[in-house]
Amino acid sequence: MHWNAVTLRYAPRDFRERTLAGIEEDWPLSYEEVEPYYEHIERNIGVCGQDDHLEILPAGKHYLPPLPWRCSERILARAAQTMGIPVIPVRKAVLTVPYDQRPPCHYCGHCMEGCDVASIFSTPDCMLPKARATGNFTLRQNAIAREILTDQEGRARGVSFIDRNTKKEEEVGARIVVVCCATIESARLLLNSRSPRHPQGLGNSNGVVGRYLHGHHGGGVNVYLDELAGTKPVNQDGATDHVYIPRYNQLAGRREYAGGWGVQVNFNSYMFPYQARQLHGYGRDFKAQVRHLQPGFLFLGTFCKATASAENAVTLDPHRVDAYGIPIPVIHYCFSENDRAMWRDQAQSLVELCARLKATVFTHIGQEPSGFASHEVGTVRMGKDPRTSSLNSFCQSHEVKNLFVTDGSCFTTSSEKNPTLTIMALSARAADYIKRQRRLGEL
Amino acid sequence: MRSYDVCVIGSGAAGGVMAKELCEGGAQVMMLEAGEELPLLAFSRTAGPTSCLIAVSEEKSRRPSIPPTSRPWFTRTATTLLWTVFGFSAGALCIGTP
Repeated sequence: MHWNAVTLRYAPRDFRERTLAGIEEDWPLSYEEVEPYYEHIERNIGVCGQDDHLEILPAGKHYLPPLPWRCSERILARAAQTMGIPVIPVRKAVLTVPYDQRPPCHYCGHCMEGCDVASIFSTPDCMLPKARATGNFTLRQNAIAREILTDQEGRARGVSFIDRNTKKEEEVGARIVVVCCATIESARLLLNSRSPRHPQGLGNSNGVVGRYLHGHHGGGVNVYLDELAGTKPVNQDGATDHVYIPRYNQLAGRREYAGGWGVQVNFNSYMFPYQARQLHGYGRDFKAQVRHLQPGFLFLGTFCKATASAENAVTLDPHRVDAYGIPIPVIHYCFSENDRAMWRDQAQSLVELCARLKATVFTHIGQEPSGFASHEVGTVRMGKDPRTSSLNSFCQSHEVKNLFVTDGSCFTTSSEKNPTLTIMALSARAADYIKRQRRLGEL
Repeated sequence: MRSYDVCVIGSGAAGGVMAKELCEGGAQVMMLEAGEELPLLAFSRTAGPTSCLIAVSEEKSRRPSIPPTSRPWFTRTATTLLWTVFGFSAGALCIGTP
């Protein structure tokens, strides 16, 4: 719901971290196997952008026209070009023309505040009506899943959930259970689903569920462009970021660490000057300063690939439960040396870029790696080896054949790209597999 | 206990795709969602800190104010569900060094 809608494909190399960078694991599937589902999802949800012919950011065949560039974004592109760094139109699930009976963006504000007219893709606006139209769909809201129930053979047989309003526990039976609760809650649900056949949690005899929590760490700078300071403010508020800098470090030739990072260029010159609170001063001079700088505000935010390591994990608190009596998750997390090296490089690189851009930095985001994107992945990861992973390449549990996990927790490794498009493609691929297996009578 | 072909837990990006694809493939799907329906125009009426500030700056009055009858997508949107944001149901406890 509160989604900035950036939809980037993972590149072929993002599935082969072990082979190419010598760290983490390779995915049990290749880009070529996911590619048809990327295409399918992009056509379904409507993505604006274009093919930039970059190996590091593969493109689909079906894009809506890109968002028009603002003055500040053109200035950035010009400066980056002198460093050999491409600035490309961002790819977002935001409509720039009418599509799928939805209206195009009317540029009212920040995408992450939610979209009342459904120009941004969201499940309730775009997927559930289609599911409902089949007559096969039932929705239960205010239903908090507590535990996945199993039969005597250890297969999933249904779900126990708590109605948020009545606080009563209920059950629903199912031949197949698909967990899509996002990285922390999915691990929590599986760990909370204990039974004699699954004493450590469902599908967790190898102890991998909850481990390998990772995703993005990042930094960023708030700047103003000297070139635009003092110009007349114009309303360009809509649709947040219109451009993107892919895998900056690789395209800049830096290789002192494994992995990559990209830059999301978030427009900040809103008609309401939010950035004022980050400037110093008081009274009339302060107001004059804010007015002078406001047209030039820009935010460069980096998303850096974090390393997947077994020590970073979601576990259950043995003593504390939430308001519904369900044990709460505990997060254990430590950044690796590789993460820190990458973070230092992005901080330094942003300073270099800002110098070229003739931009004055007025806030640095953080002094060390931290996370500000909800891009966590990896806690129920897929892999070739059932001893070190939870799922096969179709998001199916190695141990429990009628259990699937298709949210970000199924990722083997992260990349610098935003994960949602890949989550949706993997979910569509798993759905295809379930349909085939059902036809064969296997599920 | 009512039983279905598939129970999908969560209606986010992954769950939405899964439910649509399986329903279209003929499976009876039950979706469990922890959040609940939001009213129409929930976002422009109640939004995050950015919108509150926009409201203060009167920027909001510049948003398009076309009457509902002339906005065909409203009837479609009205039939769909908008969810509250559901974060951690209890909040997670963080341990370890950054």
